[in-house]
This record gives sequence, C-alpha cells and structure tokens, in this order.
Amino acid sequence: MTSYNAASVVLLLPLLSAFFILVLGRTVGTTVSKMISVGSAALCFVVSVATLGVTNDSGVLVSFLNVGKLHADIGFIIDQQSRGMLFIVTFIGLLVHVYSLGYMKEDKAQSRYFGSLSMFMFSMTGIVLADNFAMMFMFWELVGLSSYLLIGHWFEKPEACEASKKAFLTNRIGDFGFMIGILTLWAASNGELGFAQLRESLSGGSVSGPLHSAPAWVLTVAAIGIFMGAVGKSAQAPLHVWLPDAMEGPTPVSALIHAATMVAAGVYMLVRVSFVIAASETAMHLIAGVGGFTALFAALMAVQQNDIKRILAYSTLSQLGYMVMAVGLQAGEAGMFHLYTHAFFKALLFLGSGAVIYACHHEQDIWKMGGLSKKTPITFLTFVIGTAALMGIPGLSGFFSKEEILGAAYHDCGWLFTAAAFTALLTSFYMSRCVIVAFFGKARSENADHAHEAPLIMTAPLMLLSIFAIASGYGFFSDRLQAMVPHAEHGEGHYLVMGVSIAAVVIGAGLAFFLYNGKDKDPLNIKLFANRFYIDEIYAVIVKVFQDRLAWIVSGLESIFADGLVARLPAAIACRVGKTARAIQSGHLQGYTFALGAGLILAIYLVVQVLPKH
Amino acid sequence: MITLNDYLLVAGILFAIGLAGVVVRRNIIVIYMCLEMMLSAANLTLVAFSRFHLVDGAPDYAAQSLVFFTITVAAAEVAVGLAIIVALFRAKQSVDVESVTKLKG
Amino acid sequence: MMSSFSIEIFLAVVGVLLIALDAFATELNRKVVPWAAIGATGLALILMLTRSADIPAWITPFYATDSLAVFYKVFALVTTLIVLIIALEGDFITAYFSSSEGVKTRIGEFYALPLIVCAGMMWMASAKDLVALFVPLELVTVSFYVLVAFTRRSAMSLEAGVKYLILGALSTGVLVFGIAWVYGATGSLSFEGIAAAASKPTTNAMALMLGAALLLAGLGFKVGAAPFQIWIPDVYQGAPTPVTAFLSVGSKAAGFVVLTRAVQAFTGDGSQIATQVGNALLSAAALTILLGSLPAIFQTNVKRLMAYSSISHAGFMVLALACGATGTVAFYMGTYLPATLLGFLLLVVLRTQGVGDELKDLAGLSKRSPLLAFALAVAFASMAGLPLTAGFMGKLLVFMAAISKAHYGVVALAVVGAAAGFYYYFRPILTAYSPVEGESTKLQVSPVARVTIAVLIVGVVAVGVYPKLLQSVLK
Repeated sequence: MTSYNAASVVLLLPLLSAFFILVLGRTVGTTVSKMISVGSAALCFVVSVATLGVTNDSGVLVSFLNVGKLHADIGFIIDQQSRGMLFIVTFIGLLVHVYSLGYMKEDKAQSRYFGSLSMFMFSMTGIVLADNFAMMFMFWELVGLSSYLLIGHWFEKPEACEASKKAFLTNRIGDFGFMIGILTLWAASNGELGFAQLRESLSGGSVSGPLHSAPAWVLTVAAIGIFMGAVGKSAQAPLHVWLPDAMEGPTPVSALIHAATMVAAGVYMLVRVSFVIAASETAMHLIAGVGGFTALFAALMAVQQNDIKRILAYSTLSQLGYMVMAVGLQAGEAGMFHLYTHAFFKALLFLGSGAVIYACHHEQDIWKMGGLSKKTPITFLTFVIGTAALMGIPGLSGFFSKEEILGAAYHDCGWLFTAAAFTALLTSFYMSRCVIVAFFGKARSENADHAHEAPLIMTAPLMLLSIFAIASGYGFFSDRLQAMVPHAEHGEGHYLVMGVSIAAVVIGAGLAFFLYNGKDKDPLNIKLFANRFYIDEIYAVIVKVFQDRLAWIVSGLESIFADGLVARLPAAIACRVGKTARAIQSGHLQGYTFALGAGLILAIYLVVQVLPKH
Repeated sequence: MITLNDYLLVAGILFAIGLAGVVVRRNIIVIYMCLEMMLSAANLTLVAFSRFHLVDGAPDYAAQSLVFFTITVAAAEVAVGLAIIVALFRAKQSVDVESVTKLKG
Repeated sequence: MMSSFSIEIFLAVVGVLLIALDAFATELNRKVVPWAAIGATGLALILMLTRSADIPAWITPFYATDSLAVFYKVFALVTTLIVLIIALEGDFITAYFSSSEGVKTRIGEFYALPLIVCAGMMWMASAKDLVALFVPLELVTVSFYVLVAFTRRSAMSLEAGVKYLILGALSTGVLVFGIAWVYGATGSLSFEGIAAAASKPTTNAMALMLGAALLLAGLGFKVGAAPFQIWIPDVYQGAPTPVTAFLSVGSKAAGFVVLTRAVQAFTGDGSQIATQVGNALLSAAALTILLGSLPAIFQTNVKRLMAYSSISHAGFMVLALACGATGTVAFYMGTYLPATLLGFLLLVVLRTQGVGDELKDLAGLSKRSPLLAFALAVAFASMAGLPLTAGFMGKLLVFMAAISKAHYGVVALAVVGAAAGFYYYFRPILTAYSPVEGESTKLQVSPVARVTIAVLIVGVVAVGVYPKLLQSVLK
C-alpha cells in the first residue's frame, strides 16, 4: 500500500462511517452504529501505524474548485509531521472510541454520538493531511462543526447548548481572521494556496516569486490573520473563553477534542506554515507574547477551580500557550514535541477524570470527592502518572518537552522565560492540589464514599495511555512514532533551565502539599492548622492575598477585554446601527418615498460630484 | 428658437414636481398622478434628445420608439394600479397613505 | 429543437391561454390550470436545455444568446418551476385570502401569471439594448403588482401591493428618466453603443454620469440595493409567500442580469465614468450588506427575516459586480436559489399545517417533523454561509474577488455583515431544535413537497461540496 492510498483510506473511512450512521443509524440500531464507528477508528489506527515507516509523499485526491485564479484541491502531504500527528489522532481516537463504549453505555443517543465522533475523525484527519490552505480551512470549519455537535450532545442541558454555541461563535471570530490571512496570502502570491508553492514563492528560490517581493506589512497581515485562526481553535487569549465551557460535553470528547487533538490543530497548522510566520518579525513577537501570556494567565485561573474537568481545561489552555509560545520563538519542533507528549498525558488525565466522575456518580467537584485512592486504585495510579507527566517530573515525558520550550524561551527572551517558569510552578501546584484533594483524605460526600472502580473497557485505555505518558519522551518511542523532536545541541544554560524546571516542580508540589493536605476536614480545623504552623499562614497569605488578587485581576481583565472589547462592543455597535436602520423602516409610505428620493439625490451627488474621478 | 436645453429644463422641472408630489402628497391617487408626471418628464426628455440627435441629417427615431413603449407600459401600470387602489378603498374606505402602515420594523 | 426565443414566446402564449381557460372553462377544467402551468414550465426547461442555437437574424441586434443569457434563462425557468410547486402547496391559502366572503373565486391567474413573468425574465437576460431591457422589465414588474396584491382579503397583502405599486412605479420613472439621459449623452440605446461612446472624449461625461446614476438607481431598486432597499421588508412580508419567493429569487436575478449588462457598458475599457460607477457600486454594496444584516438581528418574523437576508445577499452580489466579477454574481445567484426557495417552501408547508411564520412558532419543529427541521437547518446554514453548503462557496468567491481588487474596507464591513448573519440565521435553527414541553402533533408533508425539499437540500449540499457542478453550468 502506498502512503498516498493509505492516507485516502484514513481520510475516507471515518467519512463513510459517519455517513452510514447518519443515513442508516436509526434503521440498524445502536449496536451496529457503535461497531462501525469503532471499527473504522481501529482500521484507521492500523493503517496509520503502517504508514509510520513509509517515505514522504504527496498527491491530489480531487480537484475541488477551479474558478479563475482560485484552485482548491483535496490533496495530501505525508511527511514526518503529518505521520506523527496522524498516529496521535488515530491512536487517541481509537482509545476514546473504546472508552466511550463504557462511558456512554447509558446514553440514549449513542448512534448520534458515535456518528459525530466519526465525523470528527474525518475532519481532523483532513487538517493533518492538508497540503493547501483551502483544504485546511474547509476541514478547519468541519472540526468546528463536529466539536459543536459533540459539545452540545446533551442538548437538553441548557449549559451544554450555551457552551456549544459559545464554542462555535468564538471559533468563527478566529476563523474570519484565518480566512483573511489566507486570502491575503492568496492575493499576494498571485493565486497560490498550496503550502509547497507558497514556500517556494516566499523563498524566491528559482524564480523570484510574488510573495518574495511582497511588502513586509502584507506578510505581517497574512501571518497575524493565520495566527487568528490558531487563536480561536487552540483557545488562546483572548478567545480562550470557549474551552472551559466546552467541558459540558461528554468527558471522552473533552479528552479527544478539547485536550489532545483539535485544540492542538492550531499549533499543528502554525508549525505547518511556519515559513510564513518566520517572514514577519512582528507576527512572531505577537505569537510568542500571546502564547506566554495565555500559559501564565490560564495557570493562574486553574488555581481557583474546583471542578475537576475545569482544572484540566485551564491546564490545557496553559499548555497550549506553551506550544504557541514555542512557535513564536521559532522553536516549532519543540512545540510539536510538547503537543505530542501532551496529547498522551492530557488524554490520560481527562479519561482518568472521566473514570473518577463515573465512579462518583457524575460528581465533578473535587471538594466532594476525597479518599478515592483506595477505592479506585487503577484510576488513581494512572491519574497520578498523568499528573506527574504534566507537572514535568524528571524522567517522564512532560519533563523533556517542557524543558525544550523553557530552553527556547531562555535563549530568546528573559521575560517569557520567567513567565514560563512561573507557569511550570503553578502547574505543579494546581495539579498536586487536584490529586491531593480528590484522591486523599476522607470521602467528603456520599457519592465519593460509594465510589467504585470503572469497568475494564474504561481502565484499559488509561493503562495504555499511562505507558505513553511515562515513556513517550524517550527517543526509543518518539523516533518510532515519527514525533518531531528538536535535535539541536543544548547550548549554555541547559543545566540552569533544567534546574529551574525541577525547582518549579518541587516548589509547586511542596506548596500544594502544605496547603491542601489535611484541608479535607472542617473549616475549624483549618484555623487550628493555620495557628499551629506559622509558615502555613505565610503561604496562605501569599496565596490568598497575592495569588487570589492576581487571579481576580486577571479574571477582571478577562471580562473587560475579552468579553467586553472583543465581543460585546462590536455587538453593541452592530445592534445600535441595526436599530437605527430599523427605525427608517417605519411602515409609512411617505417615509419610504422620501428615503428613495433622498437616496436618489445622494446617488446622483456622489456619482457626479464626490467620488474620485480617475 | 427653442433649444434642446429648454426642453430639458422643462422636463427636469416636470420630473422634480412629480417627485416632490410623490413625497409630500398623502392621497394615493394624487401620488399616482405625480408618478405619471414623472414618466411624462422622461418621455419629453427622450423625445427632445431624439429630435436633436441627428443621424445623416434626420432625427434618430430609435428613442422615439421607446417613448411609445413607455406610454404603453404606463397605461398598463395605471390599469393594474387603479385596480389595487380600488381594492384598497374597498377594504379601508380610504386612499390615504396613512391607512397602510401595518408592515414595519 | 426550438430556439430560446421561441421558448419564450411559447411560455407567454401558454400564460395567456391559461388565463383565458381560467376565465371561461368549467369548475372541473380549472383544476388543470396549476398542473398545466407546471407542465408547460417543465417542458420549457427541457426545451431550453436541448435548444437550438439558431435565432432569427432580425432579433440579433437586441437579443443576446451568450452564456450569461443562457444561464439566467435556465435560472428563471428553474425558479418558476419551483415557485409554481410552492404555490400549489399553498393553494387553499391563496384561494381563501383572495375570495370574497363565502364565494370561492378562481385563482388560475396565480399560476398563469408566473409563466408570463418567466418569459419576461428570460427576455431580460438577453437584453442588448435599453428598450429590450425596459419592456420586459416592466412586463415583470406590472405582473408582480398583481401577484403581490393577489390575496386581497389579507390586509397585509393589500398593503404590500400598494407599497410595491407606488415605490415600483417611482423606480420606473427614475429608470426611464435615466435611460433618456444616457441616450442623450451617448446618442445610442444599445449597450455596445453606450460603451463605445463612454470612452470617447467628446461625450459629455456629466450628462452620462447623471443618466448612469438614475439608471443604476432604477435598477438598484429592482434588485434591492441600498439606499433603494427600503421597500423590500414590507413587500416581502406582506406578499403571499410563493410570490415572495418569486420576487426574492426570480425578480432579483433578472434585475442582476440587466444590472450586470448596464455596469459592463458603463465600465468598459477607457470609459470616462468607470471609476465613479465602480465606487458608487462599492459604497452601495457596503451599505446594502449592513442595512440588510444589522436590522435583521431584531426580527422575530421569519418571513421578514428572510427579506432582510435577501437584502444582505444582494449586497454581496453588488460587491462582486463592483469588482467586475460577473461570473461570481451568477454563481452567487446560483447558490442563493436553492437555499432561499427551500426556506420559502418550508414557510408555505408550515403555513398549510397551521404553523405561523413567527420565530416562536418554530419551537419544537424538530419533534414535529424532523425532515422540515433539517431542511430549515440546511437552508439557513447555507444563507449564513456555513462551509459545505452552497452559500459558503458563494461568499468565499465574493470575498476573493473583493480582496483581489484590494477593497479591504468593504471586505471588513462585509465580514461584519456575515458575522451578524451567523447570529440571526442560527436563531431559527436553534428555535427549531430547542426542546419544548408537552406533546405536540406531527406535521404532514405532501409527497410533492417532500420530493422538492429533498431536491433542494441535495442542491445546497452538492454545490457546497462540489462547486464545479454549478461552475460547469455557468460555462
């Protein structure tokens, strides 16, 4: 099988499955739908494993659109980046399909759920394989749609409805920027949309292409526009608001779409077109800044969360910020490496949290859990492994990839390095808090008291993923899986960076331990606890006053800038104009004839007098 | 000697009066008459241009043929228009523009 | 094998014969009128697709048979066919609201007039000079006066008829006055002659500009371009729904084909007024998109919402026209047809089942009829321009045309309009799919409506997934 054929299979199988379930899902029943969806995911996984060893390839499947200078194809690009990503998508996709068989067992609309999952697999594969912007954009929209369907799977819940709407609309804002970026490139390159052609046009290799000679601001507009797309999909500030709400969807979906794959699509795309971004210094600074800011900002918010899924969601935001920052620092490989390790351990954490939620009868508040380490030992162990990988404990996958990003930041920009290191500390802090509160101490509610381990169909994916969470950072794994690993020699300061990241882990975890170990008791005990240890009080003061304030200010800024300036203000202006225009529509015929007459005179005046003549 | 400009001026004034009438009058019948006046202004302009546009020493009759079409169209418009206005009068007992203000917003 | 000209004659003759049949035949025979109209249109469509290229030599000076003309002729026939089906679906509503108390009036004209309108629209597509533009345009407009006010027992329809009559006649006056001045400035009535004269330095540019402004204003009224869009919401809402569908697709398309030809004449090579006309169109496009999209945010009536939506779509097409992309205008029109007709067909089907056209009436539709709810979702998603629907491709091409001409300001405003569209188009979908309390009755959909809905859905999706389909028709 050539790699080209393999790619077609991986792309089209889920489409067929989704189509089949859409058309015949009701007729054939839930079981058959489930089998078809899981089967197609399994086949895709096998095929993508088979492609891991093949050579680079590219080709056109269908010529899609041909108008004037616009040529859009469905074409594939098969290289290390897409092969590695394809493995992640199909592997985690398969695990999530299997896990869902258990998690969604009681659901009434499983056909629809699995159909949407297949639809998502199709769209995501399209993004991974795309060899041009038109196809990328199309599938970009399709993942948005399937994510919308899946977040709103339980549409009877008003929160889920709202969340799906919010995700969809927020993404649209980013997509408009993306579209403008693409169109700017298209116009500036005289009608090219293919990545390879654009790269050539930009480098001016054999023939000096139009992009090569395009003014700098055009490339900046294009790069920032394209980045806007990533801001929406990868939930970077200020468009991050949808991701935490998206947790209203079923937990396996959160693991697959809102942690491991779709939200990483922005990073994947940025690395894919890094040659465009590299052409604009301004865009690079902006991207690195936004990434670093999001990492820190989200980590601060994570500290304040009590819902286990929301803690993970904010953590995802923060880690995505790392990856985006890496792209902005021209360390795209480091970003992709972190994407790859993060996919495994974050999927593990989400599926683990799903198992916890399942065990506690749909309880999501960590303060109502506690003592789960004994009742659900497998979930506990795997969750701890995921947490350790995310914190970056030396020897686990997250350590390697995070260190690469910290290293890149260290060489480039002191501020970003400081922010990134502080984020690492916070990550360690809030993840330890989560584990300590949820798994240790006494059960703090009846649900937690009656918790029971999830069935094997759910724990098996957890165990498999924890192997990856531990080992995927080592060359033995990453080389076989075609992951992009930065191979640059570690320059000076390597040990400093390593020291800082280890220190961040230790300090964060230590702080969390002192603060939260024993907080499962009554508030009275907290007072007593605080009075006994003076040092606790200092920590408490630091955290309560300093961190709380900071988090409070950050969340205030969020509501002013993200919510206010980006979303509300334009909406308010649009509404105002709309209302005014509506007032003209008074229903009075005389008003209409007057408006027509005035319009006529205006038109004549404009054409004859005002508009420039030549 | 009457020049082209004189005709155009008269036609322009006629058109302006018609437009003003459409905008300010409240009786739909009167408005309709004003509309016919605007059409007449256009016809006068056409005929004047046609008469003064000489092709091989003779006026260009192509535009004058359009005038006949315009007159025919105006007649058809009146036939249909008056029928609608009559229907309106039967329904509302009024032909004031203020009797049709339900659709708005 | 008939020429396109003979097909138009055929349609007009059948239209007149059907009116006569309706007037003189027995009650039983009148039942054949709608089916005869549908059959004649279908036959004409088949004849059109297998037409012969020969046309009588004497009409060639004012009758074009280029690809643009052929596309819009087929377009007019398809639109008329579907509109007749929509009208048949809502037959008893039309009959009820056009009869006097207790007397059942015959409504055969309601099916015969669209044939005559269709012939007029097909003629307009071929117009090569201003006379050939004006006469069929008025044939269409006057027929529409009758159709809009047809259900005269409904106060809404009557009011819409009066408003359309006054404002339409006003635009006719402006149009003829514009034609007079264009003729005066260029000494020619044919588009070719106008284009040639426009590039001559001896032509009085001021007079030509005055004429062009008046002419474009008159045509702008027909297509609903700002600032002449003001009649659209009231007339569309008040008119019988099949007529609204016809107005918003057929009449608009016919307006755009003549507008295209006029603009081409004014902005030809070396034209003195090309820049002004281009800029005027750009301003009109931006204004139209905004005045269509922004007030739509507040609409609670679906029919009126679609009226505003049609204004906004016209804005996108004017934008394409301003960029000189006439193919894109036709393509956009082609993507607009299935979604819009589907929307209006749904409104009629719902109306026959006692469901009104207010937004709140749609609540729980997904429970009452999954097919209708899905069709509604497809139609509105396409109007919003969701990828994989026809509407997305249309908007994409317009944006590309505008960006390639570097009209970034207008593009920014168009983006605002499109974004607002996502808000108001998704409200009906969300309402239809939102859960409602209590039991509700299932809705019945007739087989004819089912088939038409399915065909239109397939059309929307097929063009969205594989736009070459429509492009190949355009060639």
